[in-house]
Amino acid sequence: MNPSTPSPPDTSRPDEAFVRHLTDSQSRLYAFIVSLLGHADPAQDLLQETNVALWRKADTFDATRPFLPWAMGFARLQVLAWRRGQAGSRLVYDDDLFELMATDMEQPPATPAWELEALEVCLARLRPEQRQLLDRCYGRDEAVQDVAQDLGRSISGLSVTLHRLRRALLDCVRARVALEHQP
Amino acid sequence: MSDARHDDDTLLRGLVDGTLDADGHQRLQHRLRTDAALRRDCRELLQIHALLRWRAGRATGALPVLTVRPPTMRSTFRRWTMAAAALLLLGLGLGVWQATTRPAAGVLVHVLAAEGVEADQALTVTRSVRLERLTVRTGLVRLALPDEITVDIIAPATVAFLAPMHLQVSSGQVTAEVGERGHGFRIDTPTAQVVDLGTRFGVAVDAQGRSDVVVFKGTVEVRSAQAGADEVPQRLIGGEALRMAAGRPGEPLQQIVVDALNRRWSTATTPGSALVGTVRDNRAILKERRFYEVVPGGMRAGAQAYTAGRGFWHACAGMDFPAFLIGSDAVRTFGPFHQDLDLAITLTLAAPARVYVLMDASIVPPDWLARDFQRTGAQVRRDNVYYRPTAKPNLVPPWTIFDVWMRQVPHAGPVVLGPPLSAAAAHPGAMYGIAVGP
Repeated sequence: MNPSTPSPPDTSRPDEAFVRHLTDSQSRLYAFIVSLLGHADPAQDLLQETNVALWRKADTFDATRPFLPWAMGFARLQVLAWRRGQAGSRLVYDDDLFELMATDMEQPPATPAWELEALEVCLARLRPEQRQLLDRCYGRDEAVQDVAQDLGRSISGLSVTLHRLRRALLDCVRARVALEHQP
Repeated sequence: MSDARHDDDTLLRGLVDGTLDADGHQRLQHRLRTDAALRRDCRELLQIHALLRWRAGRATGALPVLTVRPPTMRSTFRRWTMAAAALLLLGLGLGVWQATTRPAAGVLVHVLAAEGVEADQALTVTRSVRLERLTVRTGLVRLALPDEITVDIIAPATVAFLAPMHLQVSSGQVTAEVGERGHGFRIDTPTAQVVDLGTRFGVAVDAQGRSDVVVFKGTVEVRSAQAGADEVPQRLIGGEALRMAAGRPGEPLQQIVVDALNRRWSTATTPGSALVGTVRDNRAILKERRFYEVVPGGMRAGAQAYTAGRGFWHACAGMDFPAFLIGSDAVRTFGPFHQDLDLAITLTLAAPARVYVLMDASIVPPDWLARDFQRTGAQVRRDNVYYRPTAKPNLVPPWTIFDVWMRQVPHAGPVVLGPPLSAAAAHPGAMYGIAVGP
């Protein structure tokens, strides 16, 4: 029996501009994947696989066109492949809704895409105890029920608070992005 | 807020929290199909959620050239302070390494274990001792430091205790497990600075001063010991490793040998395994930093399936774990490789052996497996890391079943294992596992 022969490795290296595009788009690609999945669980792995696919196909990128929509296409394929592996399990979006969500995101946005810098500014406007709450739930990955118990609050009440904070950040980021792009 | 909008908001909250029940899930899907503004709200709330996770370091982008580090206010501050410190030290004509060899006041540690130890200081299990410097000539020492930090020091090793949150490893191997309060714990070596961000990681310094940094769980930041003000730290997550040498960028390490309890590990080529020589794949060209773990004699029920601790092998319901697998060398692969159509893993065997591939039973076996291996008829199962018993809806089943395939290899040398799926596969399955037995 002969061993199978692997594909010869691609030894070409993308240029610096491609690397810069890829680097700058990481947070957006991650956020895109999470929003396509409807949750964050496998998003890190899918981002890694997207990066591998982009790296391998770097020579097909047309530098005269925007990078992010092209990269999002690869991310979408990774999410599609992952969804196929979940056959028989219930997904957050059914196939029709998934296509609708994906199509919405790949059209030119009415407002520019999210920026981490806008989020930082909006976070700075929260009260210290609000930032601390987000830090506990995101930075330290404490479960909502554990934080609620520690604070002497109900789980549902804390969940509502977190949601309101996310809403407030969303409104702030939208306003800031709109302001920065006024003619 | 109107009742309808309140209901929508409740549904979106449940989605992001992961607490939506089946009825709520159906209602949300219906609403999203018909309301474009709600779809926008949904995706942008999820994006805010994702960016908060990104900002907190709960996700990173590991690229072939460098690691993308979330630019946060706190990290910017840390970069400025480290840059300022570096400039000061340069101005004084001192490198960072030299600056940290000033005499330390010592750290009070608690001795948790001392196995076969010969050291330059008396170490009594369950007693505390103040250490400034420790040389361990033989054995393993486990110490508890303040702030939920546990370190294993494996001989031969020399470690300086500069502060409760700061060690300096001149030679040898140290593995650290850091709890919540230990964030920011730091280990310096002659060629690297490693800052913990909540993790279990290890460093090993060889006789040439090269430093191997291995992350088993969580995240660390790594800079070269000679880092300039502009150097952005590299961030390693669980399952990644780098070798740091003076004057050179970090190089990936593709293979770590660990014992079955994940306590002792080595970056040398399989010192303890009689069968598996090396494990390499064709993704190294992408300068990936993920590593394979070789566990001599480590295959058994309950064995870890992949690096970074995702999933464990178990006997199938009502069956025993296959006896012929128990005690074989386990090679922990990497779960995210499960969609790589071009993957090729080369095992170099040190002796004639039986190579076992544990392949997801739900997919058509790839051609190379059907051609080169034989199905044994035995099966095992692996728990699914994304299974949430209380999640509604339940996104994944609790188990994945794997068929055990075997190939008898009559000579030492390379054996190539192909991709985990065929190009024609309807959907990808789980990444396969590997074992090597006599």
